[in-house]
Amino acid sequence: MSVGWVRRHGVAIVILGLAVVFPFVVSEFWVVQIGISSLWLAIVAMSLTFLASYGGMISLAQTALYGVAGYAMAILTVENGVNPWLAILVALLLTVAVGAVLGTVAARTYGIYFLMITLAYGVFAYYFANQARQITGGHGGINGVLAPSIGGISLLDRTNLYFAALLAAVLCYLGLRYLVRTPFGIALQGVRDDPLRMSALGFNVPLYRILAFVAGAFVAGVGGVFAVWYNVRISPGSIDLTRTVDVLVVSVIGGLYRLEGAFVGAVAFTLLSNYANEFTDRYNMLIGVIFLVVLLLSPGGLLGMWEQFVRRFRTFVTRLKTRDGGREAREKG
Amino acid sequence: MQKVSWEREPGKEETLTQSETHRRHGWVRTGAILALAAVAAFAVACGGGGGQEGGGEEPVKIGLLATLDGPFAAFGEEAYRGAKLALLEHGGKLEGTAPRDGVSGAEVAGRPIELSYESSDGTPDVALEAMRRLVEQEGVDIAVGPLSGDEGLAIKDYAKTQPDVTFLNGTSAAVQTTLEDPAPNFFRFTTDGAQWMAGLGPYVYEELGYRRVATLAEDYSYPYSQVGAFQLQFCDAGGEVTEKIWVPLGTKDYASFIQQIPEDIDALYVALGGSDTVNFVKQYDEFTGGEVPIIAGSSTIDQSTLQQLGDRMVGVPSAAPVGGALDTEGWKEFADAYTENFPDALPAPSLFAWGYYVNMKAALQGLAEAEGDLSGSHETYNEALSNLTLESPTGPIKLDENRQAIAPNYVFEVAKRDGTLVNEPVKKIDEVDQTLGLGVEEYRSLAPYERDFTCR
Repeated sequence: MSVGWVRRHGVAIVILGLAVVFPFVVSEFWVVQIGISSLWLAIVAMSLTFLASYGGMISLAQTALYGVAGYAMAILTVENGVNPWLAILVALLLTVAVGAVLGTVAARTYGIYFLMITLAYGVFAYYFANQARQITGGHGGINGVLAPSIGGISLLDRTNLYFAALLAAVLCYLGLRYLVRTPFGIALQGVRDDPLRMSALGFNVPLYRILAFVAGAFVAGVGGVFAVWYNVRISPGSIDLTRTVDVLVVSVIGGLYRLEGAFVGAVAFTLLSNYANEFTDRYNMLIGVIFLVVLLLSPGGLLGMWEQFVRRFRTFVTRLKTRDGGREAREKG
Repeated sequence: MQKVSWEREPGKEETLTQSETHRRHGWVRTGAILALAAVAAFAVACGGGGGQEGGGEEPVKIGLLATLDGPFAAFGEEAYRGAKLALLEHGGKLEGTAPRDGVSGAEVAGRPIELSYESSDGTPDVALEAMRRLVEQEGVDIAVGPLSGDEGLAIKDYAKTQPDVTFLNGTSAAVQTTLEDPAPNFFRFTTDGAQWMAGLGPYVYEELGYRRVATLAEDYSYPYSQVGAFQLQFCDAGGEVTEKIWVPLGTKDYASFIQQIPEDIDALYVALGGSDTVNFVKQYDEFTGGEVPIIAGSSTIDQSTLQQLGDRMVGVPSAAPVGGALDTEGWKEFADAYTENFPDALPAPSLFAWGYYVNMKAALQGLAEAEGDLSGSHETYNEALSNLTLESPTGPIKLDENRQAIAPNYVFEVAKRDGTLVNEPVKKIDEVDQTLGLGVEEYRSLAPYERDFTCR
């Protein structure tokens, strides 16, 4: 950890430090409803940001995928009393398998067609959850999904669950960051930019897209596990179209071009949806207007806005410096 | 040299102006921050002062959770109206008729009542988040809500984690909420979806002579309990349910379901939402000529259904805990207070206004009997609620050992009076308990109300 490393990752270290201190300085309500809620939402949104920014795939199936993991957790632990760790493993494997099947069907389509197919997945998952009563418990869903303990540390304790979610979020982030820097990730970005050329170069384009989709499914599944612990339940209402749009809004508002955007978007969205109704009855409209304003001001979302600001600030400072420097030089001269 | 000084002058001038603007901006910013701080300090001071002055006694915070988004939004507005009517009886004044307009000045046992609102979209996840805001952010002592059955199950589970807060139901009517594993601090002064059917089965068997009935209902938990409870009592009276048909929520074309309805039935039991009823009955009558009598669930018939279907509906029986045409003294008073305070609302208070009214009224009456004592984990208050006998608009309500209402229920029949159709009460069943008189052991031993619920 050289000084250079610290300087390069300064912002990340500060943010992580704040995230670690967070539960000790705020009320329990904030730990749960802002903290944990933002984190699981961020994990799900991050899977979408990853697919969109590195794979060129805007997927509306991420809620369906986190629903698969969530329902698997609920069914295994509540109704069959399976060990929670085994349940997590099975839930994530199942999500990955479903992701592979869905990805295989969708991978050959691009743009609006990909969007439509993944939207169909999302809607299908909702209706399946609603009507396959024997499996999913129908409209009421499955209640009482409690978080387990790791070697004496109970995740039922909210602070512990917060740190578990934080750990999972950081691991997912580092994992995806690593993935996009591997040869696979580089090739994936090639596929995003020019599938025809990559195909001509001998890359199996659909395979790359399927694998990316599977990686996204895994991350969404992790989000699903935490979502079901946070809500203590899952029902079709947890994966309906409103939730699908919420995930898209989080990704876009945060900035659809960098993984970090998902975190920014999730925090902003959670704060808004918790506090907007204190200002007006039409709080959904307020959220919509803020969403529009952010996009109008900066297509890169909040993160893009921040980067624009930093860039302008830097040029401003450099200009001041050169001007002052120039004056000093001139005065000396 | 000349050239250099010539260049230097404007340069100097520019830097001067710029630093000047900077200084000015700095002043503006400092000023703004100071002003903001002053405003904040003022607000804090006022807030604190207001709390101190409010009647000497510490206020009781009551949180209200209903559904103002999504498909149940109109019901949510009714719910808020009902809850506020209960506050008006304790000296409250409406600050407006919109859902979130407050009620000021209400006072119980010398303690002023502070009301805060939250809304869900009808899904249990959102209801839970909203309830967390009320309890953990607003710090309410008493919470009233939610509106729909699945939300109720979620809130009951949450209540167990918050033993220092007392929860009263809104209108959620899932049977399991209080029957299985009830929460010690969740009170339901309204009856459940199965209790709402009480009396209908025996009535159609004995008075209308129906022996063989088929059912058609929406495919989710609430109609399951409605159909199940009707079936239970109809079978016990001696009747037979020959076929049960379930349609997905939101179905518009009923042709394929109508094909499944057997022909040799005396009547068809229908549990659909208002406008779906109209759709279905019209399509069904095209097939059968409109001759098969209909039996309706608690929310199958409303005023607009009657208007659109007209004389076809005359004689249709149903059962519910309330109805616009109830003629008890208490109901008339309640209905008058409703129209007087909310002139732009419905012609008569709905089931949702009634349910929230009853639960809020119980919350306040319990507080009066506990003399405002909310110390500890509300032991005195919860005890008072458990022993309360509430004089409600439809008759006396008390609680069983699971804190579930024992209340009257009514059988209604559509009749034509002076050219308009009204849903008239024809029979009152007193003291309907959650087990429909079967006792807890026996009632629990029956399968929970699912699609495949069968007669004993």
